[in-house]
Amino acid sequence: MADKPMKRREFLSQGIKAVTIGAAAINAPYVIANLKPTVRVMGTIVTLQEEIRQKAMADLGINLVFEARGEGELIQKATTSPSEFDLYEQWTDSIKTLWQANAIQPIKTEKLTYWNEINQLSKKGSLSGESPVGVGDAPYKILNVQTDGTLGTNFTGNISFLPYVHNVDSFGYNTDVIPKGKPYETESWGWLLDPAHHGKVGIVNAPTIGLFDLALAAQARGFVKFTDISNMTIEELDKLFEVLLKYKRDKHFSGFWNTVPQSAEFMTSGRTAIGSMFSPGVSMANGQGTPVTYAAPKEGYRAWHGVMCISRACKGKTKDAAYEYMNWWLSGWAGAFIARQGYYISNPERSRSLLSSNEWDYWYGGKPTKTPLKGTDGKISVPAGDVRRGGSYENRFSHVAVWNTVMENYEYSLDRWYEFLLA
Amino acid sequence: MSNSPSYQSNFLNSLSISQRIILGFILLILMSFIITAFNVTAMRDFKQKFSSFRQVSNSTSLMLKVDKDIADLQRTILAYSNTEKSATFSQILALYQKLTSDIEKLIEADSKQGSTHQKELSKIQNSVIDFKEKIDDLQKTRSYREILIGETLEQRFAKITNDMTAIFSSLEQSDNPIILSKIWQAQLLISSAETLQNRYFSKHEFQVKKKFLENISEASKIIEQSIVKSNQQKASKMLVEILTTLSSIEVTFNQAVQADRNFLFLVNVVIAGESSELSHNSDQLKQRYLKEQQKLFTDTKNYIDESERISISVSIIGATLAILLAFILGRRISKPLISITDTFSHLSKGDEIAEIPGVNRRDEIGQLAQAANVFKETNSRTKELLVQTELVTEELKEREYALTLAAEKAEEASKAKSQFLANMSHELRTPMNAILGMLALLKRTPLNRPQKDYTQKTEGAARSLLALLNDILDISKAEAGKIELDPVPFKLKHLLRNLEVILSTEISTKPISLAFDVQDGMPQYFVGDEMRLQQILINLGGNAIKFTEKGSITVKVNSSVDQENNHSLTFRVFDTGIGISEENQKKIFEGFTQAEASTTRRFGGTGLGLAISQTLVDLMGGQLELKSQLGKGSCFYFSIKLRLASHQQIEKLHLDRIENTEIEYENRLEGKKILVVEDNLVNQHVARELLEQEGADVVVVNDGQEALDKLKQAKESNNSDFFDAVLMDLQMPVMDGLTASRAIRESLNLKELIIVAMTANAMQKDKRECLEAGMNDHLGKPFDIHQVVKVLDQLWGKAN
Repeated sequence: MADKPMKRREFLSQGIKAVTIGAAAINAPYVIANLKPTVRVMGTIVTLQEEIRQKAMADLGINLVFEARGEGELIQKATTSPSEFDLYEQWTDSIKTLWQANAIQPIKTEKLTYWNEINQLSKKGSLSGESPVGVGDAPYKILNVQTDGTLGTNFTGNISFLPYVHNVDSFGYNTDVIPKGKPYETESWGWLLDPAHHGKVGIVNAPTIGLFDLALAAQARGFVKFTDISNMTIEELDKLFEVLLKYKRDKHFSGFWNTVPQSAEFMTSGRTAIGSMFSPGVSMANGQGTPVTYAAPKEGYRAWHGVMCISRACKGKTKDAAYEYMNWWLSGWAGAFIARQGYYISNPERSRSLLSSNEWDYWYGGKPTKTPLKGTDGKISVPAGDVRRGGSYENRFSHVAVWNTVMENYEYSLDRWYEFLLA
Repeated sequence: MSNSPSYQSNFLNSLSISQRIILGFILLILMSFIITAFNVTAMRDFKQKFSSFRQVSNSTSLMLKVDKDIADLQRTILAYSNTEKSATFSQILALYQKLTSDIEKLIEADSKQGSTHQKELSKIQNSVIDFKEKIDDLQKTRSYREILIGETLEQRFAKITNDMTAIFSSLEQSDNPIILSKIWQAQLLISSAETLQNRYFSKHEFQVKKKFLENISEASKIIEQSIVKSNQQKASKMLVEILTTLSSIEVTFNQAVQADRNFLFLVNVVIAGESSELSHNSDQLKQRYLKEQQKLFTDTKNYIDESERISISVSIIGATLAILLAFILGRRISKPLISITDTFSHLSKGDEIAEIPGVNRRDEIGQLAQAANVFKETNSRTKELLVQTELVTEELKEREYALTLAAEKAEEASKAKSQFLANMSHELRTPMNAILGMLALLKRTPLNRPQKDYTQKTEGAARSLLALLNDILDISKAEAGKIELDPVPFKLKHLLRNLEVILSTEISTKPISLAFDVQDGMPQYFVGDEMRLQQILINLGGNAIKFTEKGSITVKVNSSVDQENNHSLTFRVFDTGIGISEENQKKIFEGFTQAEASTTRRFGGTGLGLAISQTLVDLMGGQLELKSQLGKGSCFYFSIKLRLASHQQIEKLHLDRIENTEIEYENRLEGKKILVVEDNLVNQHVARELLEQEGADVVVVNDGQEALDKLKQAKESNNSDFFDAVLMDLQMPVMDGLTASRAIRESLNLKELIIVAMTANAMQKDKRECLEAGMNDHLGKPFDIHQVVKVLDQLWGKAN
């Protein structure tokens, strides 16, 4: 975001606001009543987008300060310095940590305008209620703040996070290098550890995500068998890392990325031909001319769910503004906006009217688009006739293998991860 | 020259040899320039490559340093993270400083090299800058964790241990064994928890953490129960204290777990990730540098090898080209040169050459060829000329031959003519001899007056006839070039007296005076052909008399002496006769010609006299000339050079004169026996008569054979009166005079016998033949008895 050159007017208005904020801090007792509340949002670039910020500020009349960081940094900062942010946007796998670290406070569902519109995926585990939920920290398992202060499935009116953006992740691969496979049939996580792709494999540098990609890959290739892949035992981890270290030392992996643009750069530069990717990274790479296919692995996706949390330190008008911002997110525009980037929103119907039927049918319906589809940057991101890899919203979320999760042996995995990274 | 009409050959053909040689040299120079240029370029390239290599090597070593710095930093961070005492944060900072400064150096080196790795380097530099934040976080996070684990939790556990000890000591005094055992149980759980806590933070096993929390929870429960059961206030208060501490331990533990997790995340994920990426990027760059270095090295090496190869190849190609060029040029120059040289040598030998090679060339050889062509054409023209000349020569030879033949024929004809004339004169003289002999005999007989007169006139006519005959003989001799002078000593006065006698006779009755005008004091004795000189003067004087009716005839003689003492005598014969017209003056010296046809009728004569005189004067070295005026007279004159006679010759002349005057006509041959060999009967008679009148004993035979027989007979008889002389005619039947003479000398061996030829063949040739045949002398016919006596006397005198 920061890399993106701002238009002159934007720059000026931002500058003025920054100055105003500075002044407000110094002269707080006198002018506070006239100030718009400022909400500091810390998160990833997946949701911290300038268009969203501008739209929300315009719609809400509040100030928004976005601080986008990498996965590891975010959680580090969030858990140690809750006072440095108001809203925190990341993934469900960070919730346990945040919650345990007492970095966030419960969100009252009663203050959420569209709570009732939020679909069953977040509340119950699956959209239809029939399809498999997938192992790991499925959002519904950690959504509700239980009476004992733990997170659980029982609805209490207090929730740990606002369910909003979610998607299924897999890996992307450059079809210039690797022949295109068939979704759910030939495409497999096992490709990541395919010796054929030696030296061309990129992994996200986040144990809660990357480790699962690698675990799914190792399992797909039959190297390791997990009792519960979302909660591996020390032995299983040792076994897994034994395999991974062998691969690592064999220089099978060409990089560990920290940010989405980095993942795209890995692909476009040719450093990687296959690797853990997020949907926007795939779009970026394709936008830059590298034909990256976002696989629909037969083993199932690694699903993730965005979380918007309120900092433990957030209170008063800022907290109100934070609630406003959360409600704004589910009010339609943002859902439609991120739909064009391939993300789903927890209350899709609210955004449907803001999408063309063609867009809706492609992004949510899994149908071929009749016309080329433009991304949020105005560029064509989907050519006419294309069908979304993995199909419809329901179909894709019916193929979830594992949810991003912080395992019980997370620390242990961190120790091994270190070994893995620097092997 | 090759006949293939390629551009090159055409181009080359259009050049002269010098241009070709220059072209060849230019090509060679060009080639050496190319080689030099190539070498220079290669050297420069090599220098540049070497400089690049050095720079890259420098950068590479810097990069290796950076790479090492990163590894050192990682190791130190790991050591620091593992709370090893050896590793301090200041060490990390120092290493970081070193890394950043090394990167700066590397960037500087790279910018010097043309910023080829700017992107990668700035990426590394940015990563390193970002890294600083993480390092700072690391210190914070670690110290926070250390405080929680190493201080807070430890203090809390220490406090609980103290409190527990205090409770035990206070409870020992009371007797509440149930509580005591409960507390003991809690104590065990807490102790175990402390161990578990330590174990967890080093091993990070979830089960340990779980057990720890369970222990704390269990201990709390037990303590809680104990508080309720305890009736001792002090103990209860202490237990509450412990419970609070346990609760704070749980909170602190959870905080420590999070701090540990954060620390782990920072170290194991964030820093490790950054570090890994940094290592990766640095490694990539390092590999690139190394590869570049290697490539540059290989390139440079290959370049050198290639340069060497090219240089050698170019040199070889150059040398080959040079040789080829030399060969081609040589061929193009030497071959035509050899060919043209051959052509010239053939031409010089005169061989036939169909075509001159290289005539169409435009170079020097072309010029040579054209020269050769000219040579060839000249040659063939010369040859034609030679052929023509030979033909002409042949023709000339033929003509010459024809001329020779003609000349031979003419000569033969002339010879025949001369022979004829000789024969004629012989045949004429023989009867003339007989006539004159008979007249001489007749005169000796007693004659009457008229008889004497008739005899005299007959003799005169016969003598005129003889003179005419002699003239004809002379002219024919002159024409045949056979007149030979017979120089003898003579006295001029005597000659002139004889001339006076002869001319006076001819004048006879004409009213003409004859005068002799001889220069006073001039010499009188000369050596010359007296008879011929006399003949000339008689001719001239006779003519003068003939053509002069009245007046005078004057013979004038002058002499002059030149420096060599040669005497030149000039004879002039003047007359006062009819004279000769100018047109006729030239004609009259030709034979058989007189001044006018009419003169022959009027004056008579053969017209041979002048021609003979002129020939004779010519022979004597003079020229007969004429001055004449028609009607007034003429003057014929000539000059001849004569040697003066010696004293002996003069004396001899005197003696002869005396003898001639003393001895008279009878008995001069008294006692001599003479054999006359003569076939003509009249001549036999004349000879016998005249010889016998002189007192000789004469034997006459008819031919040579008879003479031989007679002499043989006489020799054999050994008679004392042997023949004193033989008078031998030459032309005779049976055996001629010459054969007979040879036989006398050879067969009869009569070497001493006097043989004198008597012949009408009065030619010098005849005389020579006679002498060669062994004869002693020669006498002409008609037979002159005085001459015979004189000759015989001389011969006998010699013999004696």
